[in-house]
Amino acid sequence: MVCFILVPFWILNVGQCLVQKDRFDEELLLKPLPSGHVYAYFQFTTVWDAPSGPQMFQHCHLFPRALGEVAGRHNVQELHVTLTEGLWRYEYWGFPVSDAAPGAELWTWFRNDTKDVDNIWKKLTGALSGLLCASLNFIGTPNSLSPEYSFRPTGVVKNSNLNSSFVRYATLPREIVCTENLTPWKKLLPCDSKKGFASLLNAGHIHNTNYHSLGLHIRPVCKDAKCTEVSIELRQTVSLVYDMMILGFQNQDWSLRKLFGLGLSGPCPLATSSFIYVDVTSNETGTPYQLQPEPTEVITSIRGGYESKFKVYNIQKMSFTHMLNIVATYSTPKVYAVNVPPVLYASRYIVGYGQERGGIVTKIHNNHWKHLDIIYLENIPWFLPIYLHTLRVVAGGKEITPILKKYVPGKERSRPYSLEVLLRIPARSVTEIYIEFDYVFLKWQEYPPDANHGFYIGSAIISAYLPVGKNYMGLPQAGPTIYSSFNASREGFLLQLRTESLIITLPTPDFSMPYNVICLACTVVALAFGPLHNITTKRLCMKDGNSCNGLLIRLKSMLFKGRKPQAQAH
Amino acid sequence: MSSHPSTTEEIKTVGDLPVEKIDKTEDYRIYAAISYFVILIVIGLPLWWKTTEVYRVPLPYTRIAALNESDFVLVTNVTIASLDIDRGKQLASDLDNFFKTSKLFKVHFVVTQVQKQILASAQSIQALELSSVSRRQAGDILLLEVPGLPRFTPSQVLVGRRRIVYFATDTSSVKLTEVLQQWLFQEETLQRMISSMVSPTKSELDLAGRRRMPTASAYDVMVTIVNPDPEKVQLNWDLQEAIENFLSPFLRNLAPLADYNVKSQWLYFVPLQVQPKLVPEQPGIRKHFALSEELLPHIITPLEKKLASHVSQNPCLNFVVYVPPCSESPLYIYRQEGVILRGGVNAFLSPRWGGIIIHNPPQDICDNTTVVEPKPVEADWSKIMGTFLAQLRLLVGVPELDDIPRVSMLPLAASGMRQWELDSLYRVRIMEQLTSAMLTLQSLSQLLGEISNIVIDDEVGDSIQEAVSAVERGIELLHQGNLLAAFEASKQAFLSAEAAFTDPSLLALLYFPDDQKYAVYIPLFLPVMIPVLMSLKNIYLWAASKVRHKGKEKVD
Repeated sequence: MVCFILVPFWILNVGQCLVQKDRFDEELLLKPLPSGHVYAYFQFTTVWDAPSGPQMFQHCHLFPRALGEVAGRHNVQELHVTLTEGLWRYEYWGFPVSDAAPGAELWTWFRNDTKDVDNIWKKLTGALSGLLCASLNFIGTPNSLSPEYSFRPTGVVKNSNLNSSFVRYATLPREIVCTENLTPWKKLLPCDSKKGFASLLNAGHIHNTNYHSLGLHIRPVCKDAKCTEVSIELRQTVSLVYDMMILGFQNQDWSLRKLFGLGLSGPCPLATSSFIYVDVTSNETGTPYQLQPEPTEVITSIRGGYESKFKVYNIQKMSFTHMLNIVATYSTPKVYAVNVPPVLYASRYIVGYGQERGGIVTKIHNNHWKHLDIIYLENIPWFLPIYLHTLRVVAGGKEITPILKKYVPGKERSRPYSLEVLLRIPARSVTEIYIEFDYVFLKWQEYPPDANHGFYIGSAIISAYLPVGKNYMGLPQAGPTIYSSFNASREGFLLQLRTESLIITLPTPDFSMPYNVICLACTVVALAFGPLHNITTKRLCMKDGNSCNGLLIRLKSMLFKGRKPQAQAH
Repeated sequence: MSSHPSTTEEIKTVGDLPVEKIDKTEDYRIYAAISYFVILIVIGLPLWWKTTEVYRVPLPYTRIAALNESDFVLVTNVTIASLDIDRGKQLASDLDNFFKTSKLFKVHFVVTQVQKQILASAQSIQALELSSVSRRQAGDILLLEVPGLPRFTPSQVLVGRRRIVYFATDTSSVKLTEVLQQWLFQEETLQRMISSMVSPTKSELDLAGRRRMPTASAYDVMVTIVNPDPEKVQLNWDLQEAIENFLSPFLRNLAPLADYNVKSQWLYFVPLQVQPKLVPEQPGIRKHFALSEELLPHIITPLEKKLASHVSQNPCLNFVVYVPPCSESPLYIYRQEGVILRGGVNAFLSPRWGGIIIHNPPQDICDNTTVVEPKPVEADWSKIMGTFLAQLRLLVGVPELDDIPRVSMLPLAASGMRQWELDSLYRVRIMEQLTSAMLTLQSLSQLLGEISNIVIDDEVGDSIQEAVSAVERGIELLHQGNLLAAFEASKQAFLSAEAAFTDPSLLALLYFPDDQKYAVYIPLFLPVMIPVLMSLKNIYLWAASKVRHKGKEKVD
């Protein structure tokens, strides 16, 4: 891949520390969504000019040592972990800054010199599981893919021939994200949650949201414009979507205090920059709102032909006599316009009946005036065998032939089914991707306890290179900060959509059956054996009518059986 | 049996058949019963037993048991170099008498005569240290008589940096014994360590033993700088360079004993969990803050959250520099009410954990209001790292030695270790590892005897074999007085024994309950076995009748 030129906007700022070769930036983006929700996106970026070599992560300053040790020990080049609760509704909310699949999602590029990737991957997931208190340790080879096209490195790569055997991708759609994940996540920040934006992240005001997602992204980036040396970038993100109505505020007005429970007491003193951006683009078209206090700056960003307006609060330049509370008030009650969905979005569901066969349907909506090329990645666990010959792609009643298909069939208990389809979807259309699968029986210990949701199937991923910047909020590849995404027009904008995860119920046998079978089979054998043994070792014979009649004599004969042969021997 | 009442009746002649034929079919029936018995009980039962057996490699139980009997004896060569060979011999026999009672040490004394010109040509003790006399094999000691010792030192006995003890001509053998016992051999420490390992409920470690880190093949050394308030204090320190300059040379010395991985990190906003007491300004005393020594354990607790590693399994030695902000400085550790910690060193050691030093910002920077916050604070590396090195010595197992009157030692060189200290560290580790391996093997063999469900696969079996032979080899090498090779053997024994004992495959079948086994087997075994076992009686009766018949025929 290409080395992306990184021109950091902070080059003019004189670094706070001269000896320490790292910097930390904190940012918060607030955006009222057209559906009436409020989107809050936190991003904490640490860039570290780490010395390369085996001792790379031994001496840490702002970079969290615990995470650095994990990444260094496991030969990680790029690491992306997200822990998400809820589903991002692309149709109503547009695109987020960073996408995440429901539950836990982890993808990693290992360095080219890594030996025994599967083993290291297992160890890495174990270590991360301890670090983030998530069940990532359940990720292993049986549920990991090595996608060829969907996951390319996001950072700098030394040589351009990439080998997809060094990438691993896995999801745990059932993972439930809660406070126990947030606390260790916050511990990785240099200011912890004592100062700066992280002090706004209080569990009580995060877990009442419609959608929340924690993210950790490590990647190598260029140290300077020449890109002769490489730095390590760590991006810690939190995405939150609040519904002001269900939070009980009766109106659409929002403020920092309403969203996070308290105001901001000041920037993190270790941060090089602390910015809050409020997206006021919707003021031009929809119901306008006023912001209190006045921002320090207003930025107009034109990106991919679409203009957006941001009010910027430079927290480091503001004086803090009391807690800062940014308040947005609507002068008139908000009027909801007709929803204009974004260029591309998708939904997915299960079809079929009975407990034998089923199908998965993914509907991809293209609202662009031109056709779009997309990569569709299907991640199906091994217990749901899919049939490639049943794959049908239909758009507007016409069948489309995929440009390219990459299918890795699954293996029971050792490999999931991985399907990547490269498609050209027509303009203004709904494309349906359909594939059939079988329901299978598992081994008796693989079934969950009786009270269960069912079996989860992770989201499909749709990657596209959007030609327009409408609704697009993602970060440009070269810049790590939100600031760098302003006016960052490119030829295309990389978008990765995650669909819904699915739940199915597998046919469940009666678990007392094996024991019953054992007992029954043993009884049959024993019943067969008894007569057989008797016939071959004993003889049926007539008895003299007078020799034994009456119970007493029979008892006597039984008791003194031993004497009889003696009598017979004579 | 009762279900077939008709067959319970014994054999009778039936009119139609001739008696011979009846006998013949009767024999066949018995043969059939015998064959059932042979197939099911003689062949089937052992086959079933063998196939359902827990896999276990044959282990050297007797050798493991024999390890207990073998005695750990450290053979040490001590050379006495004296100007007068007779005096040397006298000294040797005196010393030999003292060491006869020693349980752990077997000391061989060799007497040589030393050339006068070698001693005369030496200008100082340092020159003697560097001369060819000073080269000794690891573990050996040279007692060198220096007639003019009072020229260099007021002491009677001077212990060098290498493996030489210099003594003045008028030194008594008692004094030399004392030096050897207490400083160089440290037998008391070794003995207490062994007895506390063998019977932990009965005896306790001494102070040095309690401080020393438990044995491991590698250690992590983590240096943490805590800045509780970066808004007020700015630390622009090059920690990495300081570690390279101060700690690394010392750790390189220890490399033969274990690997040391040095890591460092900075922590911000980690406050002291305890509130230091303000001592107001008094005549002669400036205003300062006091931290009582009893509260020190509470400081470690909030730090612990950020010290753990998620990948390393090595024991970790933590060294923490705490820089209080100006508003809370100077902060001093108080030993008791009103007594500042000894020597003005504002640090403390937590046994088997690490050390903490409080680095107060200089008073002039704090008082200077022209310096804006965050106030830059420079590091006094030689003080910080010097303290850490002293603490590190104690943690790796170099004890603080008790003073002996009129005995002194040469000050430490830059490397931070004396050779004889390293030797005694070797001895401690050898003893610890051998004892630990022996105890592990013994508890494993005891456990295997008690719990039948433990699997021992080939790999674990190999580890156990390896450990046993390494312990035996270690003991043998100690008898030969080869300290370095014995250390390697003991390390091998320790690691193999630990690997065998903690192997997860041991537990593979541990939780397979017996009642499940019986629930599966009984429905089959009970109904099949009862008729077969009952037919034994018939076989016995038939055989008995045959024998009697034959006997009768013979008599006839």
